[in-house]
Amino acid sequence: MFNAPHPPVRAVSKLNTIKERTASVHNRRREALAGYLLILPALVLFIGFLGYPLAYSFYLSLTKYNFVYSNTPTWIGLDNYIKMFSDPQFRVALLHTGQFTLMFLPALMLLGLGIASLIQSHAIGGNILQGVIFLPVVVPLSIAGVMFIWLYSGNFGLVNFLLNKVGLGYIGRAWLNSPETALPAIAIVNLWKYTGLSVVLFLAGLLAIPSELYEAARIDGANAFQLLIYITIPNLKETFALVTVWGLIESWKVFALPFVMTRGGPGDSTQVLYLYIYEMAFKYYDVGKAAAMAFFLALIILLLSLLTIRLMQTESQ
Amino acid sequence: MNNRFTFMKVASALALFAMLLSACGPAKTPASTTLRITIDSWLIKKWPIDRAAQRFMADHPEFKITVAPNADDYGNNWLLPWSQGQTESDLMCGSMDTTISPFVAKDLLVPLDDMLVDDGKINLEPDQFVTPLLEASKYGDHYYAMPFMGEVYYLTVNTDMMKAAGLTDADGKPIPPKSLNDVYEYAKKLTVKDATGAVQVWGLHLNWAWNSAAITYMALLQAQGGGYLDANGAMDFSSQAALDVMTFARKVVADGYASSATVTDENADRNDMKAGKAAMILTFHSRFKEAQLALGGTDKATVMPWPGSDENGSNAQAIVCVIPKISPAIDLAKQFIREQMMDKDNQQWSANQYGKLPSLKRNFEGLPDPEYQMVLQALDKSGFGPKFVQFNELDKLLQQETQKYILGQQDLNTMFANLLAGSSQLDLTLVSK
Amino acid sequence: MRLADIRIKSVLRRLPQSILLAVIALLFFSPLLWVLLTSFKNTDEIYGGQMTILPEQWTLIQYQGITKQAKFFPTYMMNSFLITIVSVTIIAIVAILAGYSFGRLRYSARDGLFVSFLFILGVPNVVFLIPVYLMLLQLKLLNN
Repeated sequence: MFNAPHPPVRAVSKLNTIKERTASVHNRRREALAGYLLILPALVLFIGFLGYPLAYSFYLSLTKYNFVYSNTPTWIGLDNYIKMFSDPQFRVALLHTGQFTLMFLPALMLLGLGIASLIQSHAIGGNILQGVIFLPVVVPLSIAGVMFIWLYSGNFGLVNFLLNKVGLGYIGRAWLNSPETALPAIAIVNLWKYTGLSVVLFLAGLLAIPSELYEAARIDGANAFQLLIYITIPNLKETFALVTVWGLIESWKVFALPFVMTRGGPGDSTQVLYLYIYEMAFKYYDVGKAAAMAFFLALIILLLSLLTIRLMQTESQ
Repeated sequence: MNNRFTFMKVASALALFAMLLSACGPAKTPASTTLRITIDSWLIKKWPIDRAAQRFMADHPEFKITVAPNADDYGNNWLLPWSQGQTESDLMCGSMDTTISPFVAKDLLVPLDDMLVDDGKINLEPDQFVTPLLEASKYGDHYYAMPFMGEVYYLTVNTDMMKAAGLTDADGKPIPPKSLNDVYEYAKKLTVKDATGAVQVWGLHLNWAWNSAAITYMALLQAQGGGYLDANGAMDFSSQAALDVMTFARKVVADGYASSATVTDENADRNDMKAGKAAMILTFHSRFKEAQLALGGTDKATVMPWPGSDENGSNAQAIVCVIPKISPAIDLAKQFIREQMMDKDNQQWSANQYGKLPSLKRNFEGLPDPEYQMVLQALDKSGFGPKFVQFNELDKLLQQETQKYILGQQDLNTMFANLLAGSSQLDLTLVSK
Repeated sequence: MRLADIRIKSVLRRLPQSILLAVIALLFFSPLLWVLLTSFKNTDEIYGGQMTILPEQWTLIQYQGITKQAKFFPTYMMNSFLITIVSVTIIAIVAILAGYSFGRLRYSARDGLFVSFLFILGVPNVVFLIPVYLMLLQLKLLNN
């Protein structure tokens, strides 16, 4: 909802003389002119760097165009979009991206809420520890990827080292080399990086719940579990919505980690949609198909986000 | 509303715009007496390009040479600018042979046939070159790149480990295996496990990484069957040789004598070799030099032909330089290639420091390491990367299917069925202008 | 005495969650810690058979390696620096102007424009890759 404040409304009805009325119209015109001028830089940048490319990309998605081997784009309408679904590699990428989201999103929320509640319950050194958990957020994604390649290494990695130390050495392995563990391993890196943000959001949400609600419920004899279900979670609706939408976008767009860590391998077990789009455009040079898949991905994200917001809204009614 | 305030804001916005626009001025076109060389960043320290530039400028003070890295390996970042008629590079070095296919298809490169002559001072006739390195640059009837360095897939072995396993002859030289079975037995003897059954030393590494799986497959197939193409000119996924090499590749991993770590770590093989955790690795032969340096001596590591590659060859990769058609310094670039890129001193520097192969046969003379002569014999018969239009797609398909098979996710027949089905959908005609 | 009692009780009450939080924080921090410690180890210690947490011998040899190997490192740093400064400046200026306009001024197209801005921001940048690259090429802003 657009709730921006605006300057005090002039008492227009009091302007009766022609002189005063033309003066006020003049003022409004100047205000409008100033408004448009100030918007101009942002508008030009937007149209230039976002609007025009978006339109051109959409046009390309309706053509058959290989950058190297076609001379010009050939119009084929929605063919790319339809043929997409019969491409087994596309289906695999779609599946794996969905699996990745399922591995990442629920864990993100659980960890975020869990850690935030620990901090909110006045754990000792809570602020510092929150900072430590937030630290991975500032580590660039590709660097985190390279770091974890090494951490997950079969011979030289921290993970197997720690497992050995606690006596669980037998499950140690080259985590990125097994088709079953590669995708979850990448999901864990994503969690490592973004949980800090989730914690911040949930903490803000938790702190916004008035403590009177809890006190009143305690007086009525509610136990900890009931407090959680009936007070905490309902009041965190907006936070859940926010974290979900943001988490959905992050996981459907996942690219840097699979690209840096496994390149879609082993086999195709970490082939995700964005990676496939990238390869389609920059390795196979088929920009028509790539643009179509990119718009499809954008559509998925848009729909899921709208769905989440709609769900959260109707529930809070 | 303060009018002056508004005016200032508007003025600053416009000033900002003026700044942005001025930054996008037209690029200055350099004179044709400047040569802008761009080279892959991994190549900069492995080939004496800076020294070559210095020497050229010393010989010809009227020319200026600059050396800069390519933004992407294999120079792929130049595809877009060159197709739009812009270049900041007059001589691009570093592509690995058939990665220049898109450039050829878009007719962006200067044909270099007129360089392959003997001008009385420098002989560059085709027979002077190591054959597969030059043929890799030939598209249709013309040559579009000049190879200045080469690699070939060969076994690098740890000599001490071979000795300890009794696999060397009276002079202490490793005995080359004669068949896939021999390699299997070698790997079995060379694998060392500790008390818990964990592997300390891998007998063999084959490289199935995203950038190597296709080369490994082609090298194995070439050695075993004499070529990697089938009767229709597509990649062979059905012959007995193909079945044999892949069955072997899986068996040696499944039985625990070869590592599959390269599936996600393209450097697992050379790192293990350098750390003394691998006995034999099939990869770019130049790893033998790295291994010698890491293991502490020229007697610590050497090369060995894969069974069949001494008769049928292996798979070779040419590192080349190309000249874009839109360069203003084409003749200067050609001169630089002739005088410096083909120079014996420069090519041998790379060989002695990093184990890389010279591209001219005569530049092999006088190299101290015996490994080069060993390799040269197989090199001449070797195959090189295919020039299929959709090779990138085939490459990816090959990686995915072979990786799944090597890791035991699917069986042999499924893998080959998928490969045949997938490659039949691809355009495998040869790239030409 | 009573105050100390209360304080100790308060600490004890918060102990379980504090320990849990500390363990979690340590888990999050350990990769960074590990990498930091490794940067002070010798190459053979890193790749050797026995893995250790603390370096046997603290050495700066890896840091020396960076300065030797990366001939273009200063250029990269300059580039990153430049990108950050320029983009932050442009964004700040443009956003302040636009924000003021949207927030404080009235004109007919304001709501419509605002919504379209938000809408376009919702589209993931995957669709922008190629055309933006082509455009930068036309403007000759690449590779400089």
